[in-house]
Amino acid sequence: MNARRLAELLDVYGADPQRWPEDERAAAETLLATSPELRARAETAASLDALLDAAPAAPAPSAALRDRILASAPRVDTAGPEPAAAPRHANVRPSTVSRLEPRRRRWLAAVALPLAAALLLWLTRSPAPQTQLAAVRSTNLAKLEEIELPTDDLLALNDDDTGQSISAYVLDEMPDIGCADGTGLGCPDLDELFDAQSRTITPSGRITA
Amino acid sequence: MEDSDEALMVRVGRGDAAACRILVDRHLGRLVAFAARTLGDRGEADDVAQDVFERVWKHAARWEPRAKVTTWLHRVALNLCLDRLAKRREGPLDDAPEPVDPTPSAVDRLHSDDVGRHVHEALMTLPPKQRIAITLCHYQGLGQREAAEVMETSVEALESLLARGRRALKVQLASVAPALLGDA
Repeated sequence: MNARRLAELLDVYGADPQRWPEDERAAAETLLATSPELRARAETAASLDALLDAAPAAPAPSAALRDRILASAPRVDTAGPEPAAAPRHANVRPSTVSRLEPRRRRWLAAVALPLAAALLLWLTRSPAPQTQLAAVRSTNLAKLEEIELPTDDLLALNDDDTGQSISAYVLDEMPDIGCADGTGLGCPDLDELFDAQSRTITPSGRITA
Repeated sequence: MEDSDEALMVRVGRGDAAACRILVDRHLGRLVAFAARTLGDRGEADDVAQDVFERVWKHAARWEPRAKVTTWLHRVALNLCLDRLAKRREGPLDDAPEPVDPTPSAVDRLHSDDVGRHVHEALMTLPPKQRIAITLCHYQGLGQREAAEVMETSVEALESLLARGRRALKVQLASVAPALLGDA
């Protein structure tokens, strides 16, 4: 630990030693006690910390949000102190389609049937994926969507209203979270993993390799 | 004794409704807070939090504890937030700052009640990655390694984002709170 690194810690993490890297904390605190210049820098950093703390508190989640989330949770109730979950349809969030503007809804309606028909046709002709169709537009797992036909979820794939083709990955099954992919978090690089299965869905619903 | 997050994930994977409730009650507030600070929009934050848990329900049965549950939850939430930010820009996410509201509240009528609002506005003008780094480390209380893991970057890169973000905040807030920053 030297003065330069301690100054960095103050600029990066602020003045609270609890926010500093644990393996540098003790040495940094010792050095800070010996340097009036660094203590002055720490006071400025503490002022910015205080300003950050003055930002409005993040909103608490609403009971309605909690209810919606739990309504979609697995159903085996082993404890049961809470009232039975409401019917699934009662607490679902507004669908992607219903939240769209009328113009976009019309556009989606125009492509919905061709898309669904094309996908169904493709699925029935394809020998491999019989259980589900998974599609994704980016390489991170959070974008993975599981599509069960027929469903409005299909429309969410193409809700940009751009008329552009979209990329999709067609999988036999959803990849595991925590799978042995070497990233430490189990989010596979879908571009690499499923390159051979990537498809493009055109606005007209045509699926191409 | 309180169940660990990892133990709860196993129970959730078996369809244990009680475990689902505990997991939601333990993490929902933090996830909504993270998404709200990242996106600056409460409604979108709720949607992101709901999407995160829908992924938990879907994948819990195959969960393998290769990372802390909190890390994974934040990472999924971050990916969802980044996707929404990218859609707002209609382009790739880079270091470009958020559009600044051309009609900010009058900086010369700063009172104690206004400080928080100015800090919020200053945070929202930061480039998203800097804002995310500050949110993870300062507000969410993640350690540097965990925050870097969530952002899929190195600790060194995280430190650079934090330093640049704090420097920019100091410049912005010095004009409205010089005394608070010792610059009076």
